[in-house]
Amino acid sequence: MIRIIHYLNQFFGQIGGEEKAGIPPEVIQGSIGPGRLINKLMEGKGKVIATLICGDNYFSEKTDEALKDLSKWIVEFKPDLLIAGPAFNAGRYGIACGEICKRVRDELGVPSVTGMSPENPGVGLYKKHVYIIETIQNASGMDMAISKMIRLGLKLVRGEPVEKPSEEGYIPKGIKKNVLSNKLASQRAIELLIKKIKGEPFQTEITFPEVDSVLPALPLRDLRKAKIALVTEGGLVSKGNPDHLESARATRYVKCLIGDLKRLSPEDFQSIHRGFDTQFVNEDPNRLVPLDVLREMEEEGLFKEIFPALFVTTGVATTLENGRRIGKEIAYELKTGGVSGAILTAT
Amino acid sequence: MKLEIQNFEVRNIQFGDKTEYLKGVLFINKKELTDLISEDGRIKEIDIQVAHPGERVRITNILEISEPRIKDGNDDGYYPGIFGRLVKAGQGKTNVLKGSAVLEIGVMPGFYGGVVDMAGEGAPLTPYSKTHNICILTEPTPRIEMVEYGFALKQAGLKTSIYLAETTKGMTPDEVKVFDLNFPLERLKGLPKIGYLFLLHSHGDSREPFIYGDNSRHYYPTLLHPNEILDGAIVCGHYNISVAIKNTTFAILNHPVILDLYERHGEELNFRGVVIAPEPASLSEIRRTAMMSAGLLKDFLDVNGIIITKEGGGHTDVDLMEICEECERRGIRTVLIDNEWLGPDGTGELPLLASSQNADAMISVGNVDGMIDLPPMDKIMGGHTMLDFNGDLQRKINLPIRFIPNAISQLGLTYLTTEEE
Repeated sequence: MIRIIHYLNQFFGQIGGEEKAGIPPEVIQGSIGPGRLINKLMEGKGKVIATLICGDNYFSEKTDEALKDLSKWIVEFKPDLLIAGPAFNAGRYGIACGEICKRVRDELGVPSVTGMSPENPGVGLYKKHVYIIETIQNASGMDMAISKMIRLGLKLVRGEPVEKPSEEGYIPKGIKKNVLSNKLASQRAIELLIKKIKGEPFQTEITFPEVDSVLPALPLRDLRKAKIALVTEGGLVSKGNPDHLESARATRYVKCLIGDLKRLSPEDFQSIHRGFDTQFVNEDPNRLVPLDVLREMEEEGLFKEIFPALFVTTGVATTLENGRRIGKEIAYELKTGGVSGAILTAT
Repeated sequence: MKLEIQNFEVRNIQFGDKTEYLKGVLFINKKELTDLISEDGRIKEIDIQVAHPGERVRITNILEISEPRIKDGNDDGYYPGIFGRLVKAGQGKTNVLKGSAVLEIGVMPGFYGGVVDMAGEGAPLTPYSKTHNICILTEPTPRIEMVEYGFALKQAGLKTSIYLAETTKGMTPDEVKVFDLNFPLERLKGLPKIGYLFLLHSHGDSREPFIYGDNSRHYYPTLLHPNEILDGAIVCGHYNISVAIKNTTFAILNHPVILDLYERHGEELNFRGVVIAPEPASLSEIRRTAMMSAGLLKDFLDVNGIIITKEGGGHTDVDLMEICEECERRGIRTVLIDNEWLGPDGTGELPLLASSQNADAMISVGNVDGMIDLPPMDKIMGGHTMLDFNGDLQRKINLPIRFIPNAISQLGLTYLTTEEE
C-alpha cells in the first residue's frame, strides 16, 4: 500500500481563515478535507497516513523553522509520496507547496506533486523543479486536480515514464529535451506550411518568451566629470587567457586590468570568441574595444577618466539566464566603482 | 529543365588493384587515389580508410562530406565552376554512387571537427552512419593558412568524389529518378503554390558556401532552378562552424526540402521554385536582401507560401526574422526551420537570438547545446583526440551534439527536434 503524506494550509486543513495564517506546523494522523478525496480516488491502492498543516504566513515568514519541523515528521512517517495542495491561485500557499515538494524530493528522495493555477507565483518559482498539475483558479476544480495529481503521483512512485505535460496535465517545466521525431524536419515543415496556407489549426515547434524591455539610463548631466568604463562581449582577454574565460557559452565575465595603458596591443591582448572571425581584432584589439580613441578624448578633457579595467565576457550561445546575471554583476561593479557611463561593444 | 539522377547502389567498398564499380561493390586502388590527392602540396600524410554502416567505428575530426558524382554522357565533370567546367547544372544525366560518402578529415586550429559513430546510440543522429564512408585522412603542410587548408581539403574531397564516380560512366544504373517541374497545367490547378527560400551563410572565407564556384557573399538574391541545387551548383565552403549545423555538400546535393517538395509536386502542392539569398553582416544589407527575396518570390514565382531555411549561428536568426516579416507583410505565408540554443540541460529561456510575431510556424531541428552519451568503440578513424574535446575519443564519451555532422541539420535533414518536459 502506498503511504502518502498530504500538505495543507490552515484553510484547507480546516483550522481557520486568514486570522489563523500565523499558526506553526502541526501534524494529524490520517486525512482531512481534500485528503479524504485522495483516499477515495486511490481505491485501496494507498492512503493518506498523515496530514501536515502550516499557516501561510508562518511558512513565508519563518520558512526555515517550518521546514525543519515538517521534514522531521516526514522522515518519521517514511512516505512513498508527498501530495501538496492543490493551492489553486493562492500565492503564499502555492509557494509553500512548491518549496516543500522540492525539499522532500531533493533531500529525502521522496516523489512529490502539487497543483496550482498558471498565474500562481509558485509556478514561476518551482515549475522547473517539481511537477505542478495545472488547476483552475478556485477550489471548484478540486476533484479534477486531485485525480490528475494522483495519476501522476502513482507513476512517480512506481518509476513509470511520465508523458508529455499536455497528456499528464502538469505545467511544462520549461525544459526542452532533444528527441527523435518519426518524420524528417523537412517533411514536418511542408506539412505545417500546407496547414497554415489552408487556414487549418497548426502548432509551431518553437515559441518565444516575453523578453524584458530595458529602459535606457538618463543621459549624463556633465560628461566632463564622467568616469567611463569599457565593457564588451567580444571575448577580449590578456594573451594566453590566464583567467580561462569560456570561448563560447560563457557563464561568467573577467576583469582585464588596463591601468593607464594608451592602447591595447596585439602582443598583450587577444579575442578568444568562437562566434566571429577574430582575425581583425587580433591584429588591432582597439577596434573591438576603442581604448586608443578614448585615451585621446580623455586627454582632451572630453570626460574625466577611464575606469582602469575592462569588463569582458563572451557573447556566443550564452543563455539568457547567464547573460542576465553577468549583466547584473558587471553593473554592480560599475556602480560601486563610481562609473557614470559605460561603452558596450558587441560583435 | 529535366535532370535524371542515375543511382548506382553501393553495397560494399573494398581496396583493390583497380578502381572500379562491379555489381554493387566499389573497388578502390588506394595508391592511385592517394597519388591523385597528393598532387596538392598544401596537404600531406594522406591516407584513405573505409568505414561501413553497423561497424563499431568512430570517425573523428570530420571537416566536410560530399557524395561521389559525375555527369554521364559528356566530359563536363562535376561541381561546375569550382571543379568542373562552368556549365549550367541541373540537366542531363548524373551518376551517383548511392549509399557512399567522401569524408574530409584533418586537424587545424579554428576548424570544427565532427564525430560519426557507425553503430550505437550516436548512429541514428546522423545520415553519415548509413553510408559506406571513404575517409580522406590528411594533415596540413606546416605554416599553411587556415583558409588555404580549407580550399585544399575541398579540392581533395571533390576530386575524390569525381574520381570514384567515373567508374560508373556508361553503365546501367540500379535506379533512375527524374526531376522535372514541367507538369500539365490542369494537374497543378488549384494546388497551393509553394516556394523555397534558401539562405546561404556569407560571413567570409571558411564561413560561406560557393555557388558555381563563387563565394555566396558576392551574390544578391537570385532565382535558381531546384535541379541546379540537386546537381552541384552549390558546394559547402564551411570549415569554421560546428559540423552539426553546417550544410555539407552531401546535404545540399540531397536537399531534403527540395526533394520533399518535388515528391508532393502535382499532388498536394505546386512547387514554384527556389530563391537563394546571402546572409550579409549589416542590418541595412539584411533588410535589402529581405526586400529583394520577397520580391522574387511574390512578383516572379507568385507563391502562396514558402519554407525558409537559414545557415549559420545566432547572427543569422536576424536574417531569418527580417525575411519572414517582409514575406508575411507581402502576403506570403512562411514556415521557418531553425535550431534552438537552450543550454546543455535544455532550460534556456531564449531559443533564438531574434524573434518575430510573424514567425508563428517554426520547425525545431534540436537544441545545439544538448549533450549525448556515446559508448566506447572498437576502432577510431581520424585520431583519438580533437581540439575542442578533452579525453580519448575511443572510450565512452559525453559529447556535445554539435559535434555530430547534420545531427542539427538546418536544411531539415534530421529527425531531431525538441520536446517540452
